[in-house]
Amino acid sequence: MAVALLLWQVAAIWVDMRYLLAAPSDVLSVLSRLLSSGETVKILWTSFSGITLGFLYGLIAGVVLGILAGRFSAVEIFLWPYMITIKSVPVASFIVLALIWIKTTVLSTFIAFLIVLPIIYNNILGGIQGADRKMTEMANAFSLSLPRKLLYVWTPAVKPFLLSAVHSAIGLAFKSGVAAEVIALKSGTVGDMLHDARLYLETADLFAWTILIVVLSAVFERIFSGILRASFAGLEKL
Amino acid sequence: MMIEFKNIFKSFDDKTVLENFSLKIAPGERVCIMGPSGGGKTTLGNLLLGTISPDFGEVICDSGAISPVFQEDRLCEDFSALSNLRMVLPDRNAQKARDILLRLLNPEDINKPVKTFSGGMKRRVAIGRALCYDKPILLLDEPFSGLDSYTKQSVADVINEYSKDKTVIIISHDKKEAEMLGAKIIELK
Repeated sequence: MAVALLLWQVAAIWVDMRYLLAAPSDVLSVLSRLLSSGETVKILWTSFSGITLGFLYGLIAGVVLGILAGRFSAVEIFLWPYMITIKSVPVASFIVLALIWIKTTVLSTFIAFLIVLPIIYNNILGGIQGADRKMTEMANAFSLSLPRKLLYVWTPAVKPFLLSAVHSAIGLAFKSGVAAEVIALKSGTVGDMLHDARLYLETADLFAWTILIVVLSAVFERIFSGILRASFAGLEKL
Repeated sequence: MMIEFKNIFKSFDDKTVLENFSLKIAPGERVCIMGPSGGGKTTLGNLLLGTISPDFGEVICDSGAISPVFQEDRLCEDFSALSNLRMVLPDRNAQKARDILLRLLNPEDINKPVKTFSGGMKRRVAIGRALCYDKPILLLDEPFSGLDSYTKQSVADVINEYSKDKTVIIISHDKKEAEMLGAKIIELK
């Protein structure tokens, strides 16, 4: 870390153009200015709440649809073209289309939802379809009800897939959510701040806002994964 | 409930495992099906459970009336031993599950996750689960694998106690195991 910072500082001195490459010392000074302002917290909260809401919608929809598709192949066949489309179409295309369809205030939520949905769906479906056939036979031999199959057979099969999917989905939700804010010019958001920094060639501000959103995404990912792990541990104690 | 295998033929990848096999097991009877490895013992168990079908012939048995111990333990590894037993009880009656487990494991182990258990302990949980699931037919596929001779006898005592008046089908290659469970030996040729 220290070596990387030192290399960055040396590169900034060598380039000697702040609008091209801001020095770490400049970024730190912007960061301290931003962190001492109440407005920053408001901006971060606006972006965070919009993106995490989209993530949670995508998570819930992905889990429900994944379970249904894992249980009924007709659902999987029906959803296949939609999931393939959502997964393959570039995020920028969705953002531009969504700008026409919906209000800019909910754009980051909608885009985060679209990004998260296929990741969670595919992992849940993969977990259920990859569940040990012998365990499924065991569940049938003991006539386990659907809720018990869900708890004792499918949840353990899906657990590693879901934890890994959540890890990737949170990072992608924040990336695409902020990109949507930049394109939509949603005021009072991190995307808006990044857009302004680019417009006025304030590279240090651009770096500082990027660091703040990366840290926020990482902290949320840690907390959410911890809650998820604790929930699985709670289920296993039933 | 009568169990009957009628002229069963079963092959896997051109290898014939069962050829014109017939057997009747009367209600309450205890039989031990013995034979060499790959001789079709477990196939008979799977036919009873309905997980496979015969190529020819007929199996007369209500698979829903069977409480099985599979050749592999097939336990829910992340869950406790107690939870594995409660899982198969309609009312998740903890007391019944605890009573059976206390006969098979040390008290301090019943709430531990099964994944932390040795092979022998897992086997005992699998047996406990089958005893907990109160059905008229008890199907035990190699029930004592991984158990030492002392534990085998104590586990056999528990099985005998909880399987009174039940039809018991044991799949094994050890005559002593059949004797411990008071079962009539049927050899697969």
